[in-house]
Amino acid sequence: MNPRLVLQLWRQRWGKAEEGIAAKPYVGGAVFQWLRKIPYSAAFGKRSIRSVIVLTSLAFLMLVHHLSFPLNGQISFAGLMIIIAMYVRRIKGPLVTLFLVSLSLMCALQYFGWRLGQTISGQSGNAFLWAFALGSAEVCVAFYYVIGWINHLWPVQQHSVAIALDDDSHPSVDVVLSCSNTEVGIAIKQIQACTEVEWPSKKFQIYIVDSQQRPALKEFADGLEIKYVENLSTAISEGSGELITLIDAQYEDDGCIPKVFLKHTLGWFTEDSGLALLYYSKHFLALQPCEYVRSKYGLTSHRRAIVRRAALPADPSSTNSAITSHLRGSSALLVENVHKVAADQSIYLRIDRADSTAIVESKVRLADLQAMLLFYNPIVTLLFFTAPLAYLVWGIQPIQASIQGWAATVIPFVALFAISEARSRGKYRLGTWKDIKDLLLSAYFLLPTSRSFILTKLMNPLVAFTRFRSQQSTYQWLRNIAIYCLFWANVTGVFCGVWIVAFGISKQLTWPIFYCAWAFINASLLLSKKAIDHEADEVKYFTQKQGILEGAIRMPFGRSVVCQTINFPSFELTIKTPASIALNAGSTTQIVLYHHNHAYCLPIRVLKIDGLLCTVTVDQQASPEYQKLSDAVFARGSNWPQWLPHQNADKPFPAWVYRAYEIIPVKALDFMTNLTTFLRWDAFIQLWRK
Amino acid sequence: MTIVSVISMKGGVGKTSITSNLASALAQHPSAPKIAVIDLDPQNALHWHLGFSQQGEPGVCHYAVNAGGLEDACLKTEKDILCYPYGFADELTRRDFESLIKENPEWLKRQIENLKLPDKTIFLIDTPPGQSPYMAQAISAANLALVVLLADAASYATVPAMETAFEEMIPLNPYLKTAYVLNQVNPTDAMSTDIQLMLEQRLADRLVPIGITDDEAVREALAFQQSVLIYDANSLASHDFTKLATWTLELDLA
Repeated sequence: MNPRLVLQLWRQRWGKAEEGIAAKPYVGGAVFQWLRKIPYSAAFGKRSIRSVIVLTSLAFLMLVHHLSFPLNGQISFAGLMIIIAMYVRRIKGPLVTLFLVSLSLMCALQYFGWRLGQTISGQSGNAFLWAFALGSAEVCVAFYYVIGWINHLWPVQQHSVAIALDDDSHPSVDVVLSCSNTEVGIAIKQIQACTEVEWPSKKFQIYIVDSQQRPALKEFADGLEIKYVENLSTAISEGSGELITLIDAQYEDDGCIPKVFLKHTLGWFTEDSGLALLYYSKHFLALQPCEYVRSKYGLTSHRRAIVRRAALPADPSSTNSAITSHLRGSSALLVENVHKVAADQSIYLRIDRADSTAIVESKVRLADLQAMLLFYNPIVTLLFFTAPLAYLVWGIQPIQASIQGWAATVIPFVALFAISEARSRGKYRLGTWKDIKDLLLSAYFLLPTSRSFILTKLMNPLVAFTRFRSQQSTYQWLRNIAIYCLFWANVTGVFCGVWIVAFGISKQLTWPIFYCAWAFINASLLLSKKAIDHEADEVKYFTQKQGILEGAIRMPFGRSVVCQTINFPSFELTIKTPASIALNAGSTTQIVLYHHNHAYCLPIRVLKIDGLLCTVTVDQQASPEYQKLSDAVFARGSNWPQWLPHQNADKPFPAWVYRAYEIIPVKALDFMTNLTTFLRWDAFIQLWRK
Repeated sequence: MTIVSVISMKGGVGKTSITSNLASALAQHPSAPKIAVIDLDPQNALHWHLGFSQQGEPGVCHYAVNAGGLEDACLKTEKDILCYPYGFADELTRRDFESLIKENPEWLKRQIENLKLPDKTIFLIDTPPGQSPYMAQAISAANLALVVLLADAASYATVPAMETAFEEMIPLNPYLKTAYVLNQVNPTDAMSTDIQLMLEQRLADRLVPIGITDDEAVREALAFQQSVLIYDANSLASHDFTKLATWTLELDLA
């Protein structure tokens, strides 16, 4: 649960998202240019220098871990760390991210050294248990973030690098489709799919490899003016494309080779000129230990590979095994489609250096560890949401330290973690002040969101009851109960805190106020979380509901058949008809979709008919019209969702305060500069009236 | 009783097919009341749409002139729709009938009252195109005048004339409500959709929000003397008529 999520949602709701994403690219300048060169210095390539750096860093980390500063020293150390981080964060590059992560780790080590060594050890009984549990929860959260950063630096799952097709600088590609051992019908289907692959036609050449030399296939290839050869080495030697795509038709899906395959994967070649090979795990060029990766990730059976011609052996008649052994040691990527996100974007599993067991194994172990931490996250969350109650309700102090000492240690730890986390979010960043302002605004926003949620949801028992009844899943039901219990527990904590402060039950007021504020933030966070959950539920419900549109398919001879869409607004529409329709796969017709008595007519191509279900694809030419319909269908009302605060909720004071803030200095200046005018009695009266 | 007269200034817009199909759709509706239709069009085609193929049988025109009542002309369909056809009439009888209804502007209204049909009956009146004594009778008796238009320029041009005719007929029925329905709408035709938009702007909520789509199934159904709802229940036109029937039932004509 992140307060920034609430702010982001509110901004989307009121069309203020542009403020939220007003991000700065990383800056240049002479000093930065010089600093940027350091990480790429040739000196780092030497093994001895790298070893010295690693050893020094480890020694420094150990030193920092054992350092125990007095309060002033700690404040100076913290300030220095934050200043360095804020300065360095302006330089782009993964090595700088690594440096920021190291700084965070250093601060984390120092914090946890202090936390576990000094604030827990002296306690006993319930106080020790609470302190230990809270400390462990903090360690878990820190671990989770650190693993996330490592994944960010060396990601396993990646979005494809899509490239525009109108750029002349793109590499030329030879697509070698191996149809040997593939049935003629399937081979023809795959060849057709190959011809539809999106890539500039001038830079695209298809070769059909058929060792069986079947006349039907040759005839089909000749009809499409596609080159037909007997073996792979002939195709490679005849072609001249900078990149060679090798596809085995036998192992492609029924859906055929995706149109966007080259568009999505060749971006990695243009990004990295040293990349020699990109392969799917079952391709014959695949390097070991693919089976190990396969067992961990459950990969698909596609056999595709893209190889840079320059990386191939000089002898054009090389055998497959010769090519494989020649490529061994070159820069290679193991890539698999993990899942499709949208029509033009997929998430790929990408493992650089899949031939290194150590790298693959460590990534798998890290992923396992992160999954384990995620599994235990509810316990960690529960501890954070109940820790203030331990002090406010039961009088147990989980943090045995002075508030100043705690603040001086925890603030740099949190600040550096926030900087590293922001860094891992993307290649753009907010400016420092904008980031701080956004952070404060996010924290403040919990108040109006909670207030609005209470007024619109909790204060209306009937609505709350209906919502409660509508939750079908047992898990949802339990989750809601848990959240409301925690909310009321924290509200009780706040009342107890106010009681302690107001009646002077505790001599020291700092910790009661601190825990009271913590409980208050917890309660607001929980309510804001409910608001976001409601938003997600409503969006899900709305999407499901609006996915069904009434329409009609135009049939031959002026007839029509009514139908219902199932998955609107997908471009690959599944349609349910009341009776089977006399259309064949591949035929083109029109569909009329109705929304608020307006008919939208779209040309479609029938892909598949399965009983009463018909899958069609909407013609690309009609996509603006289809988008218009989609926008109209999914447009949400101006008062929805009601539990997000009003349009000007980002201004904590009433509007007249801001007007006064602008007008008073101007009027004062006016009065001072025109004193003689205002000294006249009638002018004074006029001013008073104003 | 709800009395709906189906009228238009222009011929060939599909008044009779709308009357018959709307009657069938109303009869098939889950909350269907008693449905009755009367043909005031000398073309005498409504009974054909409803599945009756007799020729030369007397109807409303003959019985009116010969001091009979509407009940004498009544036919009953399988769906329990009461049909009062215009019937075969020679030229002299037709002239006499027209003189009769000219002299008695409320003749039809009284005849319908005399039928003593249940209170919730929906009575549809099919009329010939243009201003005529038949249209005056239909307007005098009706709660709602449903004007049929095609989504073309010629129909659009008749709207001012129709509005003027309604103004002139206010003394006949000051409480009459009017609505326009588009027939043979083709969403794939730009002209058709443009006319629809223009009519929406001009007529606002007086344009019925359901247009009847141009569907070959309607013409095919007529060839088989069936309602399109029976001939092809899955056609778009069938669904349009069902929606039009629901719209009619939900109207507040009190």
